[in-house]
Amino acid sequence: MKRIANIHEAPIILFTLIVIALFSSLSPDFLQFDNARLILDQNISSFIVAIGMTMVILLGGMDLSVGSVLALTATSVGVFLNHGMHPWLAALLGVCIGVLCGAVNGYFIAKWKIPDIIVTLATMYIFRGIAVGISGGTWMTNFPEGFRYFGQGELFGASFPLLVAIVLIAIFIYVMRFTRSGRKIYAIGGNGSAAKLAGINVARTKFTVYVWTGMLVGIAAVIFASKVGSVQASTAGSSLSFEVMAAVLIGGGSIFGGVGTVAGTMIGVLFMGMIKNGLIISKISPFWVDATTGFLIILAIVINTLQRIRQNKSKEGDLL
Amino acid sequence: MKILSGVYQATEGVIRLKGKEVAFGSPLDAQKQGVSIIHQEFNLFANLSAAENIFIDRPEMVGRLGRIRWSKLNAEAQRLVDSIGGGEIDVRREVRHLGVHSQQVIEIAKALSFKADVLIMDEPSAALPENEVQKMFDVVKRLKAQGVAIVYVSHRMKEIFEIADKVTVLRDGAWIDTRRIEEVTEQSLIQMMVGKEVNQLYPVRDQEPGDERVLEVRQLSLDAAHAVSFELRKGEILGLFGLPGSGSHTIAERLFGLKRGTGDVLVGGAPVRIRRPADAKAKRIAYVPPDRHRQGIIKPMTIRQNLSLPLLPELSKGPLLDGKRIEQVSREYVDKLRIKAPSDEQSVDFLSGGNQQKDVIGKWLAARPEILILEEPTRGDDVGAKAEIYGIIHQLAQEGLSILLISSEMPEVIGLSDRILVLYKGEIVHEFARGEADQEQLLGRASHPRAAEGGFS
Repeated sequence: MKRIANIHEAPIILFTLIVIALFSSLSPDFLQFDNARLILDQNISSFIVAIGMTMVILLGGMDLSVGSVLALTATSVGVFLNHGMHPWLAALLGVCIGVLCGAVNGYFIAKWKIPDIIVTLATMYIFRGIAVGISGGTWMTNFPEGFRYFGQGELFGASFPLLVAIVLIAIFIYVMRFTRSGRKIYAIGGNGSAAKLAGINVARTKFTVYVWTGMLVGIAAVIFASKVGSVQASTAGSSLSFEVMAAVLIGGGSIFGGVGTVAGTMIGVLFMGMIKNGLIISKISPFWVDATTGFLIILAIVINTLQRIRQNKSKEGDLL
Repeated sequence: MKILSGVYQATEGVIRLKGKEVAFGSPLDAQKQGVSIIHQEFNLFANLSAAENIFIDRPEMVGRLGRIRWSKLNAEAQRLVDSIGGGEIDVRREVRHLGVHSQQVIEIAKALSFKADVLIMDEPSAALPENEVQKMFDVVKRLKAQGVAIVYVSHRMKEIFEIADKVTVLRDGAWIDTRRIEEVTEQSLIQMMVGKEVNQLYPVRDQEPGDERVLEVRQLSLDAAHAVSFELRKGEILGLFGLPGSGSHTIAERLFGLKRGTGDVLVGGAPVRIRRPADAKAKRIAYVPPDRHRQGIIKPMTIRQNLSLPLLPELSKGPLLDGKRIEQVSREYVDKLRIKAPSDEQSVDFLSGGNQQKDVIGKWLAARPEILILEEPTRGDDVGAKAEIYGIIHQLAQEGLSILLISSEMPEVIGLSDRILVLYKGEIVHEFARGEADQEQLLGRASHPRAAEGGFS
C-alpha cells in the first residue's frame, strides 16, 4: 500500500477512479465501451499536444501558442488540399509548419532568453493571425476523401489516430524516462543553474523541446482537421493551450518545472475529457463544464500539494 | 541583528531601549520604536523614486481619498537627504539611476525617516567601491553628531578604528568582550575574533604535493582592471582566501567558463579555452559551487540522478541511458563519500545538508576530474559534517587530485591548504606556505595588506 501511495501519479489515478464511480452511478451509459471510445476519440488532439506541453512545463516554461499553432497548421493543410495537393504530402507539410512554429518559439526563448510566457503570448496572436489571414476568414472545408483517413481511418481494426497517439505517448514516455534528453529536461526544470554547471547546454535543450512540441501540435492538427472535416481559423483550438496546461497540472506536473510525467498528464487529459462527457451524459447541464473543471483543477492540485507535504514530513522523521 | 531589528523574536533575554524594556514584533514595530537597520544588501525599489523609497507605504503621506501627497513627500525626503549630506541627490529620480553611494544614502535616509535613535549598519562598506567608503563615513559621523547611536557591524579593521568609539567582539554566537577603541589594537582585536581553538578537525597531511603543474593561470582577468596568475600542482590543496569582493568567486567562475574574459589557462601544460562549463568538464575541471541549493543539487531528482548528471554522456549508449552503469557509478560514490540514505533512489531533497554537499562533490568526482574547484564546501554545515567533508577533501588530495579551495572560513583554509593565496580587491597580495599562516596573519593580509607588511602598527 505504501508503495502505491508513493507512485507519482497515485493521487490523480485515485481521483479519476472516484470520478468514474460517481458518473457511473449517475448514468448507466457512462461506463460503456462505446462511451470510453468516444471520450478517447474526442480528445485525441489534446492527448498529443499535452505530451509537448508536459515537456515545456517540465522545463519550467509554458506555451500559450499551441492552440494557434494547431489553427495555423490545420488551416494550411486545408489550403494545400483545396489546391489539389496529395493528402499525405499536405499532412507532411502541415507537420513541418508545426515544427517551424515551434522553432520560432524556441529561438526567441532559448537564444534571446525572452520569457516563454511573453514569446508564446505574442506568437499566439501571430500564428492565429496568419491562419485567419490565409483562410480569408472563411471555413476551410471540402477535404478530399483520401484525407479522412488521418482522423477517421482504421488500421488493424483500431482507430488510426488513436494508434498514432498511443505510439507517440509510448515514444515520449520512453524518451523522458530512459534517454539523456529526458534527463536533461528534468534537470533544467529542477534547477537551471545546477544543470548549466553540470555542462548541459540549456539553450539547445529548450529549443529542442519547443521544436518537438511544434511537431506534436502539427500532428494533432492534421488529425483534428481530418476528424472534424472543416476548419475555422479563428476558433480552431482556441481553448487548447489552457486545457492541456490544466491537464499537465492535474496530472501531477509542477508549474515551477522539474516535476511531472507524460503518463500523469495523459491521465489528466483523460480526466478532463471524462468530466466533460460525464456532465453531459448524466444530464447535468453542459453549461457547468467550465466551472466544474476549474474547481477540479484546484482540488487536484491541493491533493498533489498535500502529497508533497506528507512526503516532506516523513523526511524529517525517519532520516538522519 | 535580526532580533534587534524585529525580523526574529528573541526567545530569551531582554532588550532595553532608553532604559525601558522593549519587544519588537516586526521590523516595522522596531522602526516605530526608533531602531532601524540597514542591511548589507540594499532593499530598494529600483523602479520607484528615491523619495518614494524613503517613505514607502506611510499613512502620513496619504491625503484625502487615498491620494499620495507628492509635494510633502518629495519635500520631506529632500530635507532628510540634505541633512545627511546628500544634497546633490534629486529625490524625484528613480533609484536605478543613482550610484551605489547615493543608494546607500537613500537607505540611511529611509532608516532615519522613522526618527531612529539607534541605527544598525550591517557591513555597510561591502557594497561600496573604495572611494565611496570615505563619503559613507562622513555621513555616519554627521549622524553621530546629531545624536544617533550607531551599531556598525564590520570585520574590516581599518573601518572600525576609523569610526568606532566602542567595539564588541562576538564569536560563534557568544559575546567575547566590549572595549573602548583606545584600549585595543588591531592585533588584540583579531585575537579576540579568532580565539584559540584546537585544530583536530583537519587530517594530517603525510604526503607532499607533486611537482607537476596541473593548472597554470596567467593574467586571468577578473574585471577590466584586475588579473591574477597562479599555479596548482598535482595533489596539492591550494587555498584561496579573500574577504567578500576580493574576486575569489570570480576566479572560480572564470576557470569554469561561467564568465568570460582575457588571460591564459594551461591544463597539464597545454593552453585551453574554457568558454562554457562543458569545456571545463572536457578538460577535467570540476566545480563545486558555493550555494548548494541554488547551484548544486536538483531537488526533484533522486540521489542517483543527481550523481550521474555531469557524467551522462559517458553513461549512455547513444541517446539511451545505461541504467546499469548509472547504478554502478552511483553506488560507488554513495559508498565512497558515505552518503547516508536508505537508498540512492531517494530524492536528494530528503538528505541533510552535509549529505547533500557530499552528493554535489560526488557528482563531480564521478566525472573523474584532475582539478577540483571547491567553493565554500562546508558553508552552513555543523562540525560533524565539516569534519567528514574535510576528510574527503584530504583523501582526494592524497589520491593525487589537485584542489583549489576557495573559502571564507579561515580555519578551514589554514587547516587544509598546502599553500594559501590571499586575495585583496582583485589582486593576490600574499602567499603563505603550509604551517606559515595563522588566522591573525591571514585576516590581517586579507583586510589590510599594506599595514601587515611591517607587522601590525
